[in-house]
Amino acid sequence: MPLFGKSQKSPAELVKALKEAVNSLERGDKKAEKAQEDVSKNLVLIKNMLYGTSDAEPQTEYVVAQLSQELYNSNLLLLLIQNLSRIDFEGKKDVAQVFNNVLRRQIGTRSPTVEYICTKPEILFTLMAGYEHQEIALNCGTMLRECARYEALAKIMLHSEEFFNFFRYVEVSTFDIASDAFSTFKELLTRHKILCAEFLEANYDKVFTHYQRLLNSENYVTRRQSLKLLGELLLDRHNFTVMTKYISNPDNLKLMMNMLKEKSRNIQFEAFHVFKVFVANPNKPKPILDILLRNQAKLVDFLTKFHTDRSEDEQFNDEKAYLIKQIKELKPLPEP
Amino acid sequence: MMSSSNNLAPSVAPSEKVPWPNSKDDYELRDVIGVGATAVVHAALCLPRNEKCAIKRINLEKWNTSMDELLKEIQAMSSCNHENVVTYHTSFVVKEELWLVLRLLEGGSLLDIIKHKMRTTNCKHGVFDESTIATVLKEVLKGLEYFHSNGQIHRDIKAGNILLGDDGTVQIADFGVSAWLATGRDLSRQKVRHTFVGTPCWMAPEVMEQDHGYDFKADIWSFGITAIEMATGTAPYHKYPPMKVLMLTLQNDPPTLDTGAEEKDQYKAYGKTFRKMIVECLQKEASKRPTASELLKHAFFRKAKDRKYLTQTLLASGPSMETRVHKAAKRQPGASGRLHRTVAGEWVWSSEEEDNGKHSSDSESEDRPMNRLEAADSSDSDREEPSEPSERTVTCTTEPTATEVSNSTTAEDYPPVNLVLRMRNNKRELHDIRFEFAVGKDSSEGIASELVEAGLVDNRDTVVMAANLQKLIDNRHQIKTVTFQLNSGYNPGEVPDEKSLIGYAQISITD
Repeated sequence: MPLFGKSQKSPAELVKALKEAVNSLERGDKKAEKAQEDVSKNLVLIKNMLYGTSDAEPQTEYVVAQLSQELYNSNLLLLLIQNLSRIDFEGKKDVAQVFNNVLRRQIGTRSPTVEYICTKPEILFTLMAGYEHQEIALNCGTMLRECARYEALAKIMLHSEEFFNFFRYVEVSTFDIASDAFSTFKELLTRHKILCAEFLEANYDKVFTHYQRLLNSENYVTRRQSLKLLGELLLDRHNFTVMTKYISNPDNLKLMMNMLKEKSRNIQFEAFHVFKVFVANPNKPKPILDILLRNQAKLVDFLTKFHTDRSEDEQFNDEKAYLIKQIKELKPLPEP
Repeated sequence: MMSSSNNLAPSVAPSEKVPWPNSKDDYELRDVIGVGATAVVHAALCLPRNEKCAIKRINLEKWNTSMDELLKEIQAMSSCNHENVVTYHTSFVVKEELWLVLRLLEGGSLLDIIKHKMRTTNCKHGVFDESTIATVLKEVLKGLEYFHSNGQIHRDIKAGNILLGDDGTVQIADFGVSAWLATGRDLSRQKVRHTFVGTPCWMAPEVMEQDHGYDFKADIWSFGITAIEMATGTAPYHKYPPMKVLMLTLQNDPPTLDTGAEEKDQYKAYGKTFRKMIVECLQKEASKRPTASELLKHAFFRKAKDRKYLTQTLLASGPSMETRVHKAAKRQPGASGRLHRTVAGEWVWSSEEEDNGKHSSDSESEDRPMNRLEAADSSDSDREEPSEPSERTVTCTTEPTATEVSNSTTAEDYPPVNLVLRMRNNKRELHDIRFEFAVGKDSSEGIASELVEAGLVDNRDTVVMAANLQKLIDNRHQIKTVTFQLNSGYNPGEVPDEKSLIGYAQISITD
């Protein structure tokens, strides 16, 4: 590798060289092979500038600042992401590493790259669309999750129409891509509590209509993961309003009661953690109370025999005992 | 989207093969070539590509831990593109199973080959010659070098995880995908997760201690142990139960080729260069061990030959695929397993027992923490190969270990050491438990299990308690107190804190 002996290029030269190479790669002209090589080479040089190597320390803050400024001015981050599928295997990983490093850069309390991306939201949407393409999905996922850590960027993604594509991405047939999309999806829905709660409240109907489909997915992993996330979302105190709304809907209760009886024990167990919220609700609406009362004896019987081998899980056993007691003591609302 | 790739099949140019499909019907499952607790590995044929592959079927119902761990391992695999690292093609869900499609390496694992050779020939003075060892290990090092440059640590390098192709290809396999066996609890709910897995015999001291974390140098230690394994056929402390291996690794000088020898000069056929290479890898101080790149320049690897050489020396002497299939199917339950440790420091033994995925999803009952290992052991009497206790046996009763471990201090009649154990009780109040330790008579394990039996210490803390007690006793002239993290952890809402002993305990010498 031509890492040694060469006089070091300045950040401006590096960015310019990389941009030309990516452009050439994009055009797919005769020089494509050469372009591929140049892209990889310059990406490594930029990466080493940011991370250092075993022989060299990362560059000084001054050089890194210059490099970042060049990256913003040249719009190279977007260009790299748009052409990610054309870059070779190791180069794709380098793009993600460079992107994430520059993203994390701070000046005092400011994150200049975050500010930059806020003015270029196309970067985020291109990354999200990366889940459509098998060969770059995971690289894009790595970058997206880094973005999602910043509230300003999470907000842009959450409030975009593109966000709803995640309901499709989490169900694609390739397991690692679907699961990666799911972690990003989860990050967006849980990381910034207040932002998330506001989003869920404002978009309750749309989100939960989509969410229902995940819970009914043919794919076992989708069903199991989405059920678990649902439990976490409802039990988060920030989402109190959303929870109240969710547990007032008798259809949701019916779904959970059906999931309690699923063949998969893991799904049963996750369903239990959602079901308990319905029972523990001190102000059960009449339709909910009616369902529970109608099934009172059956539920008590069912729960008594439910996962009795989890004897070591004290919390679960306490909760189960509590639910059984609550259900036993249920009484119809007095006639008005 | 991705699934539409299936439709591309007929129109694709022959040079550009169909992508690996994500549908069960596109694969024809053939023989079972491996069996684990949560997974079965088949040889298979990918019909649209007309290409052989291996399919690892992981039963997700047995996967009680969060699926994030699984994803991490698969991503680690898919972010690798190197000829010495197992080739991952795709993965998809089939009912309650996850199917991982991997490159098929017909030669099987290096361990299979070692065992076969030991059964069929006299290996008393060594299993393989230096050239074979150098050739294989050089490939492994290239894989490790790539891995480490990727920022990854393998954490479980051993002959069992090195696979061979028919053509002499050497690949590092098993990124812990099957190693993270369900421990019977939903770890994500408990906010603990495994920080590593490993097999005790191959595990670096710093990994066992976990005081300051560890880095890719841990793989170099395991690599050194694997070098010994290739020469002698086993890891140095293979005769001992897992806990004893931990103690020996931590207390003794690093093992050498001769550690497990029964006779003097048994392994004299191996030269200085090889031995030096092993010594360099097995330095207790991780920072002193060479990196994979540095090791590649070691004189020993000048002895390395090419793949073809391996097809002659290794593969020709290896078991046929049929033999391995037969063995995989015959493997006894509870016959092998791994020790894992959680962030909280909890040691957990998982047995890689046979299960064809037909059982109910009741995996909790298979959970075998260290201190309940007798049950796993009972099936060992009719084990297939009694020659490999530490990999396959799981004797972890406190008794025998205790007497063995205290060897270093026997026959010395010191006055008992007075100790106090300070920790929080169930009500989270700090309290002191005073006890004596008669050096030479008492064993730390014995005391730890007494504390557990008395209900003073959580079951999960037996091992960490014993280990720290031993550490204190052994170094009682230098240190008077040890503080350590408990596996039983802390209550939800508590933040672990060494000072206030939340999630920690402290043992001190009082006299």
